[in-house]
Amino acid sequence: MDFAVWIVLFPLIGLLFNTFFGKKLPEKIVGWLASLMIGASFVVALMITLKLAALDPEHRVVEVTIFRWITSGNLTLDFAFLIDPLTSVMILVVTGISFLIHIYSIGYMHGDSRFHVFFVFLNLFVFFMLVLVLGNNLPILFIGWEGVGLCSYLLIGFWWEDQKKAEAGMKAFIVNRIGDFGMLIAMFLLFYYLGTLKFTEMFPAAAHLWGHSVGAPAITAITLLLLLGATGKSAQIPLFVWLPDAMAGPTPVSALIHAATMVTAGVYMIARTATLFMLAPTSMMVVALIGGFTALFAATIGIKQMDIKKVLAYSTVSQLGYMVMACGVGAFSAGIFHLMTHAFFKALLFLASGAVIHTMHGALHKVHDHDTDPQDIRNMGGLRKYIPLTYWLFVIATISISGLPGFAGFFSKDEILANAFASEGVGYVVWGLGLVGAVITAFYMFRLVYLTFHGNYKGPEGSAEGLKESPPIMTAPLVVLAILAIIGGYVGLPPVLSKFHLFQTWLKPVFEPAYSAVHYHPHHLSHGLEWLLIAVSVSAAVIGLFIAWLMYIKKGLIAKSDDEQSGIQRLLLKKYHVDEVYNAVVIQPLIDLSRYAWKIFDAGFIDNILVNGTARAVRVFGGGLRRMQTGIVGNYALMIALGVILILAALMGR
Amino acid sequence: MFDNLIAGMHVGRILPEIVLVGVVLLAILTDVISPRGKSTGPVRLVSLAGLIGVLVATILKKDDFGQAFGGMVMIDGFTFFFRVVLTFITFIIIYVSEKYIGLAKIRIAEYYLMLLLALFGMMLMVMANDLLILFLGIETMSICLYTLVGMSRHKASSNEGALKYFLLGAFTTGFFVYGIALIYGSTGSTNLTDIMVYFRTVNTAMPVIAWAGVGLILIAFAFKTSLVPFHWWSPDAYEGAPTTITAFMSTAPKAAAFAAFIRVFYVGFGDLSSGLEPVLWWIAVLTMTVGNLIALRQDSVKRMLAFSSITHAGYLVVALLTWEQMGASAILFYLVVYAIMNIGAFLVAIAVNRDESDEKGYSYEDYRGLGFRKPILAFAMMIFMLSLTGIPPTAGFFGKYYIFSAAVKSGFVGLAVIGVLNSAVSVYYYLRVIIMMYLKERDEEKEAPIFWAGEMVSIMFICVVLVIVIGIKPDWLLSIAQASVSGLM
Repeated sequence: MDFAVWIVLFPLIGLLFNTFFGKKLPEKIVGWLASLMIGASFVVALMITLKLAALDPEHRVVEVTIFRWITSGNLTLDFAFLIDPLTSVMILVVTGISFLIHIYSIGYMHGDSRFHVFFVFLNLFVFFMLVLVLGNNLPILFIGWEGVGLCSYLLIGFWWEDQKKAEAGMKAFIVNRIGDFGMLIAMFLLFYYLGTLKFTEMFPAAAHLWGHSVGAPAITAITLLLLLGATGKSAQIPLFVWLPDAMAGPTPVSALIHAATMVTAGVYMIARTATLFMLAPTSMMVVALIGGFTALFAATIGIKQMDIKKVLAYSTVSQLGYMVMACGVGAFSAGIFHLMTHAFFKALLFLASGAVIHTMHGALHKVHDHDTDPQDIRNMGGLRKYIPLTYWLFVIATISISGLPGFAGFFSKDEILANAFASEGVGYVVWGLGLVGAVITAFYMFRLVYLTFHGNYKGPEGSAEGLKESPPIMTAPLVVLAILAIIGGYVGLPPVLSKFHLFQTWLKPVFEPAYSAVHYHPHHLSHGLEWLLIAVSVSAAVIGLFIAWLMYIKKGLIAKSDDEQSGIQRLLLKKYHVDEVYNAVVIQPLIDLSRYAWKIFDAGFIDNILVNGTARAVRVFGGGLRRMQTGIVGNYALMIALGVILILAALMGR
Repeated sequence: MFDNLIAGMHVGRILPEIVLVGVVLLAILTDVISPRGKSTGPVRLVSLAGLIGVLVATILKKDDFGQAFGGMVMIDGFTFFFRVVLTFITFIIIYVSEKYIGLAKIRIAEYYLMLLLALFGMMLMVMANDLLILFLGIETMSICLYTLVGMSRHKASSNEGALKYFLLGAFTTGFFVYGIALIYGSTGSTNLTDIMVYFRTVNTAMPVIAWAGVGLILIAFAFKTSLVPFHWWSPDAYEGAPTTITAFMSTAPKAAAFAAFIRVFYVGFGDLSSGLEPVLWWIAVLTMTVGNLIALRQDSVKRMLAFSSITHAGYLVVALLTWEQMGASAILFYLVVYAIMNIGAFLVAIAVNRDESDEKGYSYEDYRGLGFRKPILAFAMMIFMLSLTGIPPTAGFFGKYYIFSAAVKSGFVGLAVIGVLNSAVSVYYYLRVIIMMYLKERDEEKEAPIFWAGEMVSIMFICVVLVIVIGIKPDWLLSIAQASVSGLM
């Protein structure tokens, strides 16, 4: 399968070409070239998948070595790809969704002065994302991991103008570094204990080492550190704060990076290292709880947001919570299944919201209104009359994410909840969290639909005439995504409907070793119970939908302005004050500490406290123009002498 | 009898140093016979040609390893590695300087002469197998550096930095000499091999006086490599020095000092590792953290790089602590990588700086919108910053990776955690440069012209390529480093 390397070469060619020639070429060529390169990658991904399918299930692990990467002492690493069913799912999702979003961006970014730069970054992102999911060892995964982080950061900042936004966006990078720190330490520890970082060697070695002492402190620590990495990248509690801020970037970026692909890397990483996690039951419990709580917590914040993209951002955090939760209860394939369906409907939601913003922007521009926020749903309403196609696409995605029967989101979410219910330990707890989360999801999503598309248009006077459907180059990818958001779930029908779960069967060889390492057998529910659970989760969605309908259609409530909120509503509006708490507990102390260190270790403090006034000024040499504070040198010497005494005391006093 | 004595000295083994001294004399001669005020050009050419000669001599002698001068110096793979690295760095600095010293108004031939003499001192340091030779090497190097730092006589900051550096340096020289005396007093020798033998035999009942000697020598090294709490001189000296000299000081002398550090502590004091561990542990933690925290608050890129160089020295101490071949080779790897990315970053800083005579130059503000103004220059700076941060796939990532994995391997998990945390903090100030370049609007009214020199651009280009190449394929450099330390232990 040596042709597999082309999957990363195509984006590389695209970005190199556009880097050197993009500036001079017309938009059409730049945009289509970048898109077609990703299209070509998608074709390669399809070919890889077909080739893989032609093999026997137990032989579906192919390694493609590109070059010998590192040889040093006992560490030998190849720059190599691991191709197995899990990889094939990931590369199909990544290249497929990226392709559609690239095409959409040709329309969305039209007229931007840095059009070609945008596509260069976008190609670069796809390149690193593919490296991440294809790498056959942890260091390669980590390179992709850092690379997508960097691209995300560059693309969030694509439109930044003012200092405040720039600093807010830096959060994304810094928060992620906290997660990466966990990854790195975990990597060092794994190498220390197992002597290898290659997946195919690492997992058997881990099973061998810890198989008889499941839950040993070492493996628990390692997996918790990996989890820390995942919470950074996949925006889980406690490191989710960066994702909503990341919405400052252009909407296609939000759709591609902050919904469909990059943020799912944490889930992918947990699934990839499933064997390790299975060996540490405590970590699994933590994973499940973090996922469950994030799913609920973020959903409640979503209730009160007024910015159309912020609602979707918190919804993404919440949905990622479901995926993490699935991994935590051992249902890795359900987690990846939801990852895929989520990529469909969430990309659709973001791109459709981009179309809405595009429309609003055009309308406001027409009446020369630059003060009204085109993303605030309080300025919208009644849009379905003006942009019916976008409306229907948005509704399809909303139904899918809410988990109403028959749509993609229903199958994957239901599978997660059923697995949570069937699992031992914290199973019921996380099932409960997920179920309440599902009610709220349906509520805030339909609230969004009602406030945006129903009722009366609340924008500035005269701007209604400017409301126009987006160009076909933007709506065509949406239609494709909408089809996927409807039918994408049929590859994984629940046991009560079909004996044959295509998706699970496909992934089975990947997760089988993880289960057998600890002799784990997934529980199966009786058909009756299964039906009952389906009924419960469907009614959850319907209840959410109904409450939203009652409040925003029947009673015709409109969103209140910020000042009128009180009590719990205010708490939700302010996102539980998490930002403020983090600022007070983490960021401010760090700033204070550095100020303090600066004072102590730099001249000023010592100078003022110890020798104010002594030996102030001496003119030096012929060319000396300014006064020189030689007094400080004396203090430096004093500090050095103190250091000398300490060190000598430590050594001599042994 | 006399012939035997000469043969036993193995003079041929120090051929590169002999060539270097010849080059220095030739350069002085060139200065004298050149027209007044126009000597720097010819002196530079003589120096560059001479350094190529030194490299050739080094390579010619690459199989002639062993002791020389009755065990006073040791020529081995380790010496060879540092001879090449140090000569290269000096060559690069001399190569890029000519136009810059005009700008900084220090166009005098002594600039080059001092660099060459400093190189001689460093060569002595890396091959010294005797504390007295080491002392000579350190002093030769330091006196040249004091002069180089103070070369911009018309700038107060340069004078201030040089004087501080000199006073504190002289202060620590005292510790070093005293340390040698105490070691001699307790072991009866200044030769590292003898010292090792002595410590090995009396390991358990070592006199307090010997510990004091070891401690004082440790302190002298801590000063030369600017470890906390002996780092005070370095920010002022780095800031005051002409920027090419800052680039030089943060790379070559630091490499030489760490080389001597490794040799003295791994060979001479190798058996005391467990006793030294707590002290070095704390020094490592403090050095990594303090440098970082202060770098956070700088408004000048030059000062930020100066403080962050303290932090990088802290990472090296982490590797030193492992007392193993893996740690030592990680140090060698890191020193090379650090030299490449740091020289690159300083060259960009020189190009971007608005006014060399300004005491408060090198502001972050100068980088505003550079990404759109000078895309290639900004790209180079971005690569250097990412590498200094340690983000893959750049060389800096593997530098840190090898150090921290060596630490974990030797059981210093806590230290590795603190190190990785610190490198996470360092993201803040390195990234600030990138933000300025790519995410801030240009302010055309305040823009100063870029200072271009062909030789600077070519070196910058080479540095970028190396950072990326080593980032993608790091193992060749590591295996060279491993081979170089293998004879040491």
